This record gives sequence, C-alpha cells and structure tokens, in this order.
Amino acid sequence: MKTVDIIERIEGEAHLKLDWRNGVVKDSRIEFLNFRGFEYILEGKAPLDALVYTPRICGICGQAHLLATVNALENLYKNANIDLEVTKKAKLLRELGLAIEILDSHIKWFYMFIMPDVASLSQGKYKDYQAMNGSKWLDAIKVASDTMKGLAIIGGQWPHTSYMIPGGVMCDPTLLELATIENYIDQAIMFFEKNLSGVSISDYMSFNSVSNLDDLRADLKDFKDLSFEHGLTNIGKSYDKFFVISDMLGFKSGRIKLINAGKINLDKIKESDEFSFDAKDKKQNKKKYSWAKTVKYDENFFETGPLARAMVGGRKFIKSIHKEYDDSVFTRVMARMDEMAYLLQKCKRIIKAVDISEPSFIKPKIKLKDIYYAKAVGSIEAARGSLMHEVEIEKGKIKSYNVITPTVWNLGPGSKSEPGVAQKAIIGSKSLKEATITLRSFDVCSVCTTH
Amino acid sequence: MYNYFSSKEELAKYAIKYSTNIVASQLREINNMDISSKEKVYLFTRQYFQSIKDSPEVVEYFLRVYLSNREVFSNGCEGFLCVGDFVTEVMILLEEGASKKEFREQDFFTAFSMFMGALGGFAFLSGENVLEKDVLEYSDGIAENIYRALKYED
Amino acid sequence: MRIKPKVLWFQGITCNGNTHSLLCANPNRLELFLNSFDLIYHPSLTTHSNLLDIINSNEGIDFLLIEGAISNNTDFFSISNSSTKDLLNKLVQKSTYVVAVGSCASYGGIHAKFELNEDITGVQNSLDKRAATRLKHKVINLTGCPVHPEWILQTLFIVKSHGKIQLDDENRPVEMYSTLAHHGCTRNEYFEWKVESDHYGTKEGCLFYDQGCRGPMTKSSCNKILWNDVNSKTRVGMPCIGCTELDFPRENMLETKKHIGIPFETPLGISKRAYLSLTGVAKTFKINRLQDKLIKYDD
Repeated sequence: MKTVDIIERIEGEAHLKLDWRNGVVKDSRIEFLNFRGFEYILEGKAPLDALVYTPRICGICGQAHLLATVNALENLYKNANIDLEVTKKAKLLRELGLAIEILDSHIKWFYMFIMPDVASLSQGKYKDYQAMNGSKWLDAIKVASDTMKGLAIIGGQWPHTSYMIPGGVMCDPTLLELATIENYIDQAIMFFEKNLSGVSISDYMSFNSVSNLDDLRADLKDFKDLSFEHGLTNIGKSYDKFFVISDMLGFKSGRIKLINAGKINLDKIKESDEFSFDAKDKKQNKKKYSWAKTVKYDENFFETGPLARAMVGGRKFIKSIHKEYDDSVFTRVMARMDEMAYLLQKCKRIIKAVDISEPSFIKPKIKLKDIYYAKAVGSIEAARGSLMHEVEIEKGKIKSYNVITPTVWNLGPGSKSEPGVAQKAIIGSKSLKEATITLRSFDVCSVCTTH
Repeated sequence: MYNYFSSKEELAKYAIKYSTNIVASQLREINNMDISSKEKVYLFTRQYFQSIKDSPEVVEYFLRVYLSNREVFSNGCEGFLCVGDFVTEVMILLEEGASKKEFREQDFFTAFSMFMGALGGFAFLSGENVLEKDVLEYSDGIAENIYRALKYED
Repeated sequence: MRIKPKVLWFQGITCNGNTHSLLCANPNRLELFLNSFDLIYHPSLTTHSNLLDIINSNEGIDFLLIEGAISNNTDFFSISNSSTKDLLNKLVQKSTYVVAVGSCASYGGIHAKFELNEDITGVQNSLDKRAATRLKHKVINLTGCPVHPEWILQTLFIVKSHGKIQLDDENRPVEMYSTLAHHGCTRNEYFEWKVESDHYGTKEGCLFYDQGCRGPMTKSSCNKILWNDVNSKTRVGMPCIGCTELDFPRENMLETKKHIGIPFETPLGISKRAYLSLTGVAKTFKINRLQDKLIKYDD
C-alpha cells in the first residue's frame, strides 16, 4: 500500500510518500516540490548584493546564510592572495547573532513543530502543548520573540538584516547595549530553567550520564516520559554517522563514521542531482522526484545538526544517551534541546569577551568588484546543521553560487538500496504519526532544502 | 557703491557672489537644456568666453582678487560658500554627463579642475593680452580639450 | 464583521520571513491578535485544519493574508498539488479582505528575480477577473522584506473597526507608508550637516552618501515603529535597502550610486540642485562635535 501525505510546519511543505507492507514502512520518499532558484538568481549579481539576497533564502535561519556568505566572500580575498583583517570583536558579534538565531529556532521548533505532535500521542493529557490554544505554545513564541531582541540590538532588526559584511560588522555596540543583550539571554536562561529542564542551567550542564534523565523536570521531562511511553527511543534510527563542518561557536568540526571523530576534508563533499529535478530541462527523467539535491561525504550519507555536534564535540550527556538509545528520535531531540543550554552559556561568554574599543570594521584593501577572478567556500554551523556556500566571481560579478544546506544533508533523496538519512530513519515506522515525528526530529527547513 | 557696504571685506564678498551668480545662472540655463553633455560643455565654454570678452573685469576680479586674497574672504565665504551656486551647476553637469555615459567616472575634484583649469587659465591668458586671435575663436578648441579629458571610454 | 474575524494565512513562493516577523511582534500584541482574531489556518502554526478542506467548504474568510509571490507554473512550485495562482483565486473567492503581506506578495519581490520562471508576480496581478471584480476593497499591499509585524496587526485592527483603510498609489496603507525610513533615524544630525560615515561599523556618520542608505527615498515606518520593539537597521549602522519600494531588490544595494562623486539619487522630492546647494553649504563648515567620536571613553 502506498500513501502520500502533505507535511506542513516544516518551513514550507513536503510530500511524504510511504510504501507499506504488513503495517510497516518499507520504503519512503520525501518530495520537496518547491524551488525558488536562488543559485540562478545570484548569477550576474554584484558580490556584495549576495549579503542582501542570501538571508532571504530562509526566514528562520537567514543569519546563518548571511554568515556563510560573509565567510565565502572573505575567503575570496584570501584565495586571491589579498590580506583582509577582521577584528576579534567583529567575529564575536557575528557569532553572537548566529547563536541567538539558533536559540530562537530551537525554541520554536520544539514547541511549534514537534511537541504538538508528540503530545498528541497521549490522548487527553498534555493539552498545554497544543498548537494555537496551548499555554506552552504561546509562552514559547513569546520567549522566542523576546530573545530575538538581542539580535536586533546588533543587527537592527530580525528577520533579514545584513549587518555582517566582509571586513567586519556594521554595528558598534556600547556596553549598555551588550548588557541589554545579556539581559535577554538571561531571560531565555530563566525560561530554559523553568520551562525546559526544570533545574538550574548550571545543574543541567553538569549532567553527564543517561541516568541524569531522571533529574529532568518540566517540559523536557514530559518529552522524556512521552518518548518512553511511545517508543520514540526505538524509532528514527539512521546511519549513525555524523558530520560537522565548522569550529565556530565552540563546536568541533569533524565526522564520525564508526566510533571516533576524524578530521574532514571539504573536497570530499559531493553534491548530486541524480534524483533531483533539473531547472533548465523541461522533461524530467523519471528517476528525479524532488527539488532537493543529495549530498554525501566520502560517498557516504552523514547526519548533520545538533546531534552531530554533540557527538563530534563529545558532549557527555548526549553521548551517554546515544550509547543507550542510538540515533533515535529521542536522542536527536534531546541533543537539540541540550544544545540550547550550551549556546545560552556560550552567548554569555561571547558577550563578556567583546572589547568595545576594537574597531567593528576594517575596510578591505580593494573591492570585490576589482578582483578579476576568484573562487571560495564559506562554511558554518546553522541551527539545523552544516551549511556551505560556494561562490565564484569574475569581472565584478558573481559567476556562480552554490548553497548546500543542512536539510539537504539530512533530507536529500537517496535510492532504494541506499536511502537518504531521513528516508532510512523513516523506514520501519509503524504508523504515519511515527513517520512524521521521525521526519520532524530532523528539524526540516523546506525552504532551505530547495532554495 | 562704497557707501553701501560696511567694509571692504563686505564689498569683496558681495562682488564675488555677484560675479559667480552670473556664471552660475548661465550654466543653470544650459544644464536645463535637453542637449548632450558634450554640447553643454561647448555651449558653456562659449558663454564663458563671451563673458571674458564682454566684462573682462569680472573674470579679472575672480582670478586676481578672490583667488589671490583668500584671507579677505575667510569669514563668510568659507570653502565653496560664496561660489556655491556655480559649483552646484558644475556638479549637475558632471553627474548628468557621467550617468549618460558621456563622461567617465573619476573623482569630483579632478573633473572639476578640468573646467576651472582650462577656463581660468585661458581667462588669465586673455587678461595678459597675449592671444593672437579674438578670444571667442579659441572657444571650441578649449571645449574639445575639456570634453576629451572627461570623455567616457569603454 | 464577526466578533472574532476569521483569518487565513496562505503561503505562496516565500522564504517564510513574514511569518517569523509576525512571531517577533511584541508578545502582548501578538497574544491580543490571537485572541481578537480566529486564525483558522497557517501552514506553520495551525494543526487542526487543512487548506483544501477549507477551500472546499462553505466557510467564508474575513481576512485572507498572503505571504509570498504567486505563479501559475507548477513545475517549479506547487502547494497542495495546485499552483499558487489557482489556490489564491479560490481563496479570494471566499474572502472579504485580501492583504498581501510583504514585498513578494505585493509585487513579486526577490523571487520575481528568478528568470527561469517568467510568471512570478504579486497578488494583485494574479487575480482572475472573477475574483478581482468581486472584491469590495482593494487588495492591501504591505510591502517590506519582511513586513513589520505591527503593520500587519494595525491593518487588521483598523479594518476590523472601520471596514476600510486608506491606501496610497501602490495600495499601501497611507498611515504606515507616508513617512520615510529616514524619519526618526538617530543619525539625522549627521545627515543634516553632511557628516558621512567613512566606512561601516561606526556609531557616527550618515549612511546616505557612501553606504547606499535609501532611507531618504523609502516610504516606511522603520524609524518610527521600531523593529523588535528596540531598534532599526539605520540606527545600528546598516543602510536602509529600500525593501518597501517596488524596485527592490536593486543592484549594488550596499553602496551609493554616484557619478563623479555626486549621488545619482537625491532624497524624495528634492531636486538635485537643491540637495547639492545645501550639501555644499553644510560641507563648508567643520563642526567639531559632529566630527568627533560620539562617546568618549576613558583610557
């Protein structure tokens, strides 16, 4: 039996095609049918205009794209052998903006995109998690809105600012402003403590074993209880291979194929459109069924995102949970929420490290327009995982621009014999609900996937 | 006239504003015409040379008095303040010419000096009475020089 | 009008930025909105309703909010197996007021730059004859990339109370789009005295002359109704990119277009002659307070 369902609340929509046999999913396809063509749009544009265009790839993770663009553009100078100086202050203010955006994304994802589904597994109880009417749903949106004010203080607004630019940042915050940003972070910490972990953040950060799951209170305890009750600890397992592209925000770049983390080589990242629609070809080969491309590292599928970052970075609490429950839905979700605590503390450290007497911006020696030819890559860690931008400029214009988003890593199409990461995770699901919760555990950003 | 001004300095300032105004309004009229920027350069050069011919003392005043005695004008004629109208018109001429791709992009002051250098220099020569022909006969030659210096090149 | 008017949010070709902007509304204002209106469907928020079910039902919609550009092409883009244009018109048939949320819905915006699909445009241009003639109120365009959440909320509350809202030539509410982004910028004094920013990253200086700020030419309320309750781009040091105007996105947005050092465009309604005269006068004077750093720190 085959079913097709339209999945929403994934920053856009996707079609989930499932092949059932004896009540179990034996094959799955995730079809992304919407394409906006940013890579085509960017061709022929002035290099700095990319700073305005790429945040608009996505409304929830626009700053991640901005940072990837800035890194790529700065690497153009490097690859053209032109020295470019960026102060520590500018780098910190960029990371701060990125971190706040990730926090905002994780809060919204948990309460808007996955908890309503998980909570509904237990009919009747957990009504506070309901979308629209639930008090927890509304509280989460409020806290996300307030936390975002921190980014608006250095970026001017959110969504869609381009406050990062080759050479530094456009803002020059005062101590007052930095203190205010810290106030918003502290408020978010209070939310984490009161609503998520139920314990102080320092106690939470001392968790290092799966047995600490018993110490959780509040909403993470609810999630844990629901997971155990409905077997979320057993479903959603995939290749158990992890990939992290960048060292920023204190994450460690690397990949885990078997047990230990190893270094990565960007040249081993290969994108394929074997199963992806061709924008210029009217007649589509039958094999192609999605606008999402496929990406592999060293010819293997790897998962990227908070779980990958916790594993490669060696965060003990999540590693211990993983040892017990593998790369299940439960582990994946716990890793994402765990990352919130990690980032909240990281934000405070970043703020304290900013030296306001440093310049925010040092003008590059020459304009990008004046470089005859150069090619470069910018790679960062976004909310959903590793993000890569590849840019090529010639005679003052962008010649080509390629974006590989984290959701492509996780949700890109594979074949029957070698399914993609999320496809594999969904195979074996015993109900549509299970399949969709598994899908959601990857934190899908449909608009980013196809851009 | 002396009695209408509170000081020599006031008279000096008024005189420069007056003479600049004439030149400025000539150029303003030309700027407002619907002709090419090249034609505007030619037309303005011709009008300026006509002024040299008709009222040589105005030009003399600018070159000999204003430029050589800037300290007299330091209070109330700072920077471009008193010649502002004229400078504005030159800006409009240059900007429009570049946006129509008749003039090439360059720094404002280097472009501006092409005008002032060529026109002022020639006015000086005229004042020295060393020119062989009637001053107007040199107009198109100077205009061509100015135009070629500003011209757009692919 | 129902006591709790029914609102349906439809997403076309979009990045979802306007949705996230709405979610960043002042929390109390957002709660007020959710309590004053019945949001029957939003693809990122609601779980109890299905778009096609609503279209096929007899349910009427008081406010149809559209985020994203519209196209008839389904090769590149489809929602619920239909073209965005098709669904739009079906929804408009059942709606009393239609609001285009954001620049993409208003006129195509960023997504209209995708040239492989020549059929990407805004809501107004996508209405079929039947839908267009049926509407009693013009489509309300809330341009902006993204739109400010208050512009959405205020529009809804005004129309809820008064039944209509006055629109300008681009069908944007006059009360939100009559001020310039320039009005209320904290760098105004630098603009007045033509003290330019040498480069990015300073508290001082006006961003108009070099950094491409479109504040003086752009209709918006960004420095009057602050973003995220706290700030605006120009206050922080990022130039306005004119995203509420119909020529967005333009080329070379982060630098001022100049010819021979003179800005190509002058503030709205101000002639080049007037602007240059004033600039010439202002630049003549070096005002120490404005040339200095704004804040003098110890050590």
